[in-house]
Amino acid sequence: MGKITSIIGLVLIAAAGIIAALSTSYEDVIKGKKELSSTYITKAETELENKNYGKAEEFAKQAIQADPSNKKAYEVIVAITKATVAPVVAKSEEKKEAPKPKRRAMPDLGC
Amino acid sequence: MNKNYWNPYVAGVVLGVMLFITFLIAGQGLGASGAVARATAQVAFSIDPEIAKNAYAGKYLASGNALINWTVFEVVGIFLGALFIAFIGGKFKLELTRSKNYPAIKRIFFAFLGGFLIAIATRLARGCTSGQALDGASAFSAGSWIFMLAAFGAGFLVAFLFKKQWKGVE
Amino acid sequence: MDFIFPFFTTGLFDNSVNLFLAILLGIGFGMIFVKAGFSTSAHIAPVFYFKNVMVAQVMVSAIITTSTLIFLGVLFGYIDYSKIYIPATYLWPYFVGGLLFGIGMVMSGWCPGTAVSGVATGKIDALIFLLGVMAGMYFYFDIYEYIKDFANSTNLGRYTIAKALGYEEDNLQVSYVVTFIASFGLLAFMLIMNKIARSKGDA
Repeated sequence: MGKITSIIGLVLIAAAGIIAALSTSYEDVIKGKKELSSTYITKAETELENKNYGKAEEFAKQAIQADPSNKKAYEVIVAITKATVAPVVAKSEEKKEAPKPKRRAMPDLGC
Repeated sequence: MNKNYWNPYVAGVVLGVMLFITFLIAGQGLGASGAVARATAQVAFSIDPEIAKNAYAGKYLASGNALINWTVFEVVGIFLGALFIAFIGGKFKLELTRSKNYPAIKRIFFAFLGGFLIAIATRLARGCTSGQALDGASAFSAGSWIFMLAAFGAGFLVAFLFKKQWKGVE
Repeated sequence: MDFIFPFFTTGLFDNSVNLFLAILLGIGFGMIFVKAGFSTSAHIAPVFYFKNVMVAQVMVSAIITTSTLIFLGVLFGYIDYSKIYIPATYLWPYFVGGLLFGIGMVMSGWCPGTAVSGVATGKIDALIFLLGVMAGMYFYFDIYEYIKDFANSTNLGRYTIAKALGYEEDNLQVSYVVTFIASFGLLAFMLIMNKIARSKGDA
């Protein structure tokens, strides 16, 4: 009797599993990947706020890999670029400003 | 044969959950053959450092100690876990498992030879029944099924050669 | 809950934590191996004579459980499947490796993982087996030079079941259904052969 119950149990589980699996589709997998992508963006944004640009970029890239149509991912990459490139640009502008006052202070030495 | 062992389906589900947790944490499943390969490389290295130049063993030794590796640590865990259960559950028994009147020397020979063949097999297949059959099939690798079916097939095919070794074994 | 699994590969903790956890996970596996009866060749070798189906029952249950959980995890967006490690499929090496493995397994009654638990429970043949494995590994190091072209041939990369059937590599739905059916098929085969072997009486 125990043998028959186990066999019936196994057949039921097999049937249930197959029916459940067949009622999903590739679209569900894609949807799952979009979810994953959003979560990666959330993580990327958190890292961006904390100025961990390396990690932020890594997460943003993963988001793109999971869902290439995720526009927010590209926005995050742009934000990272602005945050990392902009300070460098600003610094070089400062350097251009500094020498000028000196030149003005050396007007007529009469040489 | 059912002395105090878990129901195999229950054990399988528990194993499956543990395997899943392992994937969640480490991104990979349980393994074993890789650990033995690394141990061999490390032991060989301590005897003859030239082995580091070997095209295959060199890969394990490249990062310094071949034993600093996830699978090696996990296998150490397997040993410890089994040891623990063996002692608290009274499952420790020193024996050379074989059919009742089968000569021990033959059993030793086949155990060794079998291990030898399996070593080569796992290097070609990049895994063993743990790494390929269990992990690979659970993670939907098609190669794992090729390995698993070939292994079972070959086993069934040559089983008759070793009938005497296993006859009536408990 | 914004968790993404696997933890380690999404950078949630570093390698030393991962190694420590490896030991803990291994301990769990070791305990299960003994409790399920895998720590003796007396339960493993008879599988090849269809006298014992326990190995098939455990393996199939495990594969179904794990693959279902992975599938669900991906559907709900918690698991990054691209980060789950699958060794590359080398078609012919896997096939030849499988053949050798099967022969070695029925001959010795062990596989590497179970043998480790076997040693811990006092099985001398498990110890001899592992020594044989080490000898074989060393032998492989020596001959690698000559066979490496074969060993690295027919590399299909990350070859998922879906990809093998002509679908997109990450089509987990196809992979899952096929895995489910194939696993149950294997179990059914073993149960039927076991019934036949037992009705034939002891051999």
